[in-house]
Amino acid sequence: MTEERGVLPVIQRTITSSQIARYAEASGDRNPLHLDQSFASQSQFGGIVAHGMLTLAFVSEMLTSAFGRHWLESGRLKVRLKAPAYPGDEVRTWGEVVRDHDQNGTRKVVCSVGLKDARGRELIAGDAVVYVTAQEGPGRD
Amino acid sequence: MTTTTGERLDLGSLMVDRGLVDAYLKAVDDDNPIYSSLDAAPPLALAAHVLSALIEKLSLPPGTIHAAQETECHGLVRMGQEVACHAQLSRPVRRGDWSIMAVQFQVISPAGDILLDGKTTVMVPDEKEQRD
Repeated sequence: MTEERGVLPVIQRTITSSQIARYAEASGDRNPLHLDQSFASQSQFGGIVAHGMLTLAFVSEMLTSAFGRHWLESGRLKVRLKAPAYPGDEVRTWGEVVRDHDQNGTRKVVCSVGLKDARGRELIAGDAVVYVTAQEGPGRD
Repeated sequence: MTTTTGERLDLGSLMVDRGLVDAYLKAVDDDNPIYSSLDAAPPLALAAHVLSALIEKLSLPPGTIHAAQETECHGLVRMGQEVACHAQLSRPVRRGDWSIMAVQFQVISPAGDILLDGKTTVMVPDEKEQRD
């Protein structure tokens, strides 16, 4: 769970070409921006980039780690995919609880969440909302 | 693209089985045991398949960029069920050489309940921007 109140566990990954290929296979998204170096090199990104949904999966993994089944049952996520991740990039999720209040025995937990690369460039930013049974979840002892 | 704004799109059905879930979890390097213990699928695994189905259904061109994503879970998506996926397009907004298109989607259980819904926003390049 969390190491300190309100801060969500960090998920850290290094993006690889083989992971992008695996993701393309698993998801069925074979956009050449993710798979074809000659096509991608002519794009505004200048090379192959990871799927946005692949990098967003790390944010979801963070929320699953923090909130368990509550995230899977009631989670709401709203993000902008602001910049792509490239093969070789190290990326880290971040998340913090910004609001947490009880609603008739259920906590509504609002978090700011996102993903940055090793240079601090923001790749994903947005908000998540989870409904948690009152005494469960991060940020409560 | 031949689909019109506001039209409800049938994106087909998806069998949520262990093979699909395991392949997704392996691809995203997620080894959290909760999916096995709950016999449930990660929500984004379904959202990812919706996006792929949309790309195919709308014949979105190479170079299309995923710009924003919203998802909302309405219950656990248990393995072993065949879910139906639907979508609805909003009117595209032009910005320079791109069209920004928002698509509402729903993932429906065999009983007719919404398990997951949300909105996917993509930026679609003009024909001249495509470099295939």
